[in-house]
Amino acid sequence: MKKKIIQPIINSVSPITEKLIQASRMDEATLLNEMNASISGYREDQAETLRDQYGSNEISQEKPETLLSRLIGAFVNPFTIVLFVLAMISVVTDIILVAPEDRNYRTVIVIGLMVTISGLLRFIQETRSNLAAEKLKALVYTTVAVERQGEGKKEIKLSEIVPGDIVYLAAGDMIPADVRILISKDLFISQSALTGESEPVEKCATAGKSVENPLELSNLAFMGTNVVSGSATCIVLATGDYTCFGSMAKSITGKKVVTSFEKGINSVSWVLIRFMMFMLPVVFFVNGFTKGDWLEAFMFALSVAVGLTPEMLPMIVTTNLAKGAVALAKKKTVVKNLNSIQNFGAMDILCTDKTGTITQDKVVLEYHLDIHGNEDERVLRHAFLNSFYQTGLKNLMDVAILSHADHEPYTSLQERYSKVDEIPFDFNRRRMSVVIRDEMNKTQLITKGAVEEMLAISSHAEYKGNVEPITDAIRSKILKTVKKLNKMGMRVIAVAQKNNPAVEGVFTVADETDMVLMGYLAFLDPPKKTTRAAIKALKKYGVTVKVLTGDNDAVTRFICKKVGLKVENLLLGSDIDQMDDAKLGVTLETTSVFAKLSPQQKTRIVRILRENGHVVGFMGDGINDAAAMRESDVGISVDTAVDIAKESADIILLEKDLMVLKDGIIEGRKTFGNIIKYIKMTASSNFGNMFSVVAASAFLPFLPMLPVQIILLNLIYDISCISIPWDNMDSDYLKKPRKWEASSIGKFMIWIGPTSSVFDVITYILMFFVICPAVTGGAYGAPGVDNVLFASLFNAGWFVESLWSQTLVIHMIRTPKIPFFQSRASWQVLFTTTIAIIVGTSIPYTSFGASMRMSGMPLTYFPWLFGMILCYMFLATFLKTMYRKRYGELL
Amino acid sequence: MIIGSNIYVAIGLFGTCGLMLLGLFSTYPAVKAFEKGRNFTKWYIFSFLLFPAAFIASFVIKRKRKRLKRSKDLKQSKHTHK
Repeated sequence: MKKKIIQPIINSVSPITEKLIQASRMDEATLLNEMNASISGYREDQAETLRDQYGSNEISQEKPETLLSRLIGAFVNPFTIVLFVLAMISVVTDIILVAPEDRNYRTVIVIGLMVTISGLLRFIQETRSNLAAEKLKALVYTTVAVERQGEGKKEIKLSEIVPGDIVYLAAGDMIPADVRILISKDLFISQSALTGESEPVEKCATAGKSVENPLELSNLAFMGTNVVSGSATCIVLATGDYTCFGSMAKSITGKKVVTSFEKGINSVSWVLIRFMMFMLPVVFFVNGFTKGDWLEAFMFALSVAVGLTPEMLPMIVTTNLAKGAVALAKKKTVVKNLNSIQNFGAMDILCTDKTGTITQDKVVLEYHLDIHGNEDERVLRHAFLNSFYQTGLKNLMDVAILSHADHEPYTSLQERYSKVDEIPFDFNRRRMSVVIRDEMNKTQLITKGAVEEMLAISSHAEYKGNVEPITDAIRSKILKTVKKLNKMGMRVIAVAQKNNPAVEGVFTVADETDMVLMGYLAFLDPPKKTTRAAIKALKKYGVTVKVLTGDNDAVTRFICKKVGLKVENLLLGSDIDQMDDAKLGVTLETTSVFAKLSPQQKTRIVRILRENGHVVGFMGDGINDAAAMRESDVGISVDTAVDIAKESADIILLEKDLMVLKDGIIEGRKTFGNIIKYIKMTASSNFGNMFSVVAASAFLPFLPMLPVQIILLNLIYDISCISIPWDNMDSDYLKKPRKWEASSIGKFMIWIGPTSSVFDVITYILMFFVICPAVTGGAYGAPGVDNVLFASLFNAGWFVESLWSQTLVIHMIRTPKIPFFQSRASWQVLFTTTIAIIVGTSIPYTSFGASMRMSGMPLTYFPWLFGMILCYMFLATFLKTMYRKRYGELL
Repeated sequence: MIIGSNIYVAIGLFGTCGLMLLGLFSTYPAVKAFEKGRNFTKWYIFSFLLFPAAFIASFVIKRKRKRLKRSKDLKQSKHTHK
């Protein structure tokens, strides 16, 4: 999908790596001295001076493309290259090789116009969408906590970091630059963006063994990586292009894995180009042998080739995607990756985390209870101290505790206690601890976390000041109380403590044993107002919602019930671990809710669902969702999410309203529908034209249309297609997820293509045997008949019929219903197609038409034309019906 | 106006048109037969070669029951006979 290709790590000693290695080996004082920095940070003015000196902390490769490079990019694609080659051939054959008085610039001018219109429109649309996206992207930025002299710890934008800055890292943070770790606590960093290694590596303040590869040095952390767990204080060594990531950015950011959608578009493009390459010699030889004029045959074949080139395809694709992005931008949704709009429409399963996505990002602390379920102020006091002193990622529950205890006697607790140490949260332990010291010099370890995990590390429980061993009876009573609270929709965590735990300064996870359970905290995590309506809407649009949460089953059931999500089976993380991929693949299809999942289990579920053939979206906001979001086809996040979640997402919702998901899905399906409409229309039209041209070349004594007329016809048709991205899609079409299926294009081409050819051949018959003899006074080649007038009339007749049928095919193919009556195209499509028909029909009657060697048809031609078009529409409707009966749907 | 010199054009164009129409209308019996559980491709070829016969046959043929259902029915009938 959107994932970047992972390049091998730096394995040679470059100047950048050498400096990093040197910095890793210095002691802290020397390093600070070397960097002209201090542990209390720079002043803001110093930082500004350094920013001027080193530039902003951004990678050049990620900076927006220049206007010129985008303009060039819009014109460079296989189709314009083909047209350019054809124009060059025309320059040689029409201008260079002919006498000055016979020089004909028309073909070159018309091809030039086609390329210009296609390229310019693509450029305009891309610029429009980029501007809208940039505007919204500016609202979603990543920050880092930095130390500023006189101001203390403050959050600033990642781009504002300078070398020598002291930064603080916590779980979920992106590493803002290449840094040297000064202080760390259980710090685990995922370096997968640089090394491809999925397992996080432990980092600490000491350099460890001497190596040549700085990525292996344990006291260095690098831009592009992220903190999985733990916390650290670091000094910035290098920023922007001077980082390891910056030095590799060319190879990392330049190449993206091609999506199935892009692959599909490319393969269709090449099929159509090959089709054209095949037709070129066929038409050339058939005309050359039957008519004897090889130069004219060559020019005709060339024009047919131009006609068969779908030069508008890149423009249509870009315009559609850009239009979708702009539409979503208006609904406060940032689309980071344009192609994800199409994936949004194709998505048939949306996996979502629970907290912060389907529930509000505001958790409320309802109760603080002792082990018997009675209100206990001591439990809140200990929880407050734990949340207050922890420096890692403050989750919604920490925020809720701090806000609940935002008054005396809790606020003054910080004066009585000082922090000694902490053991940060991680998703395997599902708990976190702080060690504090009181005025009497007594140290205390306070731990809070998931109830099961807390019970596992607690040997005693406290009730009304008495500490007693946890017996099976107490344990079962605790679990019963917790279950009761869970059933009421409360999220419950437990709090435990231990006095004088171990030797100060060396606290580890091993100290979290023999603890005294104090009680629990119950939080209410209400669903968002729009969740119920959004889930209902998603169901209506064929998207199955699956909840993947780390929370327990009882709370998850309660919330699911509240938001109207039927719990069909519920699997726990432990159940999943016992299944192999094959078994899980089957079970996933019938399970809608998954609880107590680890990040790895979430990722596994998404992977297997994709392997089952689903297009999977993942919506999350936490560090534990990032990997699953990367694994999914479309990652969705919210702007309050942690950095790594926002970085991993393709789409970011700036507002809490989940109904925007429905809008995104509709927009994605519209985008896909309009793209596939153009592709199927072009492919079938080209396939049909092949029959018409080969029949005309084989049986007619002259060319059915002159080369320049074919190119003019193509130009008018192309202009009428410009409006396709603005077309409506039938509401029925939008109700089902739409996936890219290359085989359906081939089938459609074979079925629908020959329909217009039948009427092309009927036009040949009509013009050759009825209209032209009536005007010229006899059959072609008969004595006294003006053969030139005969041919020019014939050309004009087919020119007009071909334009009518090609233009009307847009209306025929865009819907399985009866066009104009049951389903009407957008006004833009109606306008451009009507104008195309009016202009094209008028041309033979103008001096321009005469200069193109066309003669005006008699009025008797038009009743025939109307009759043929009507029959064409009937036949096309008949075939559409047959096609739908055979394959189920039209587009 | 068909004269001797353009008879070749007439044969070619009318022939092409006829074949194309036959090709398009042959989808009807084939789709009809497909809906009744028959092979679409085989019926399309049949229809293209012998359109009138295929057209009538597509109306006359009965819906093909699924083999599984038939075998179940057979088993059931055996049980009832017992």
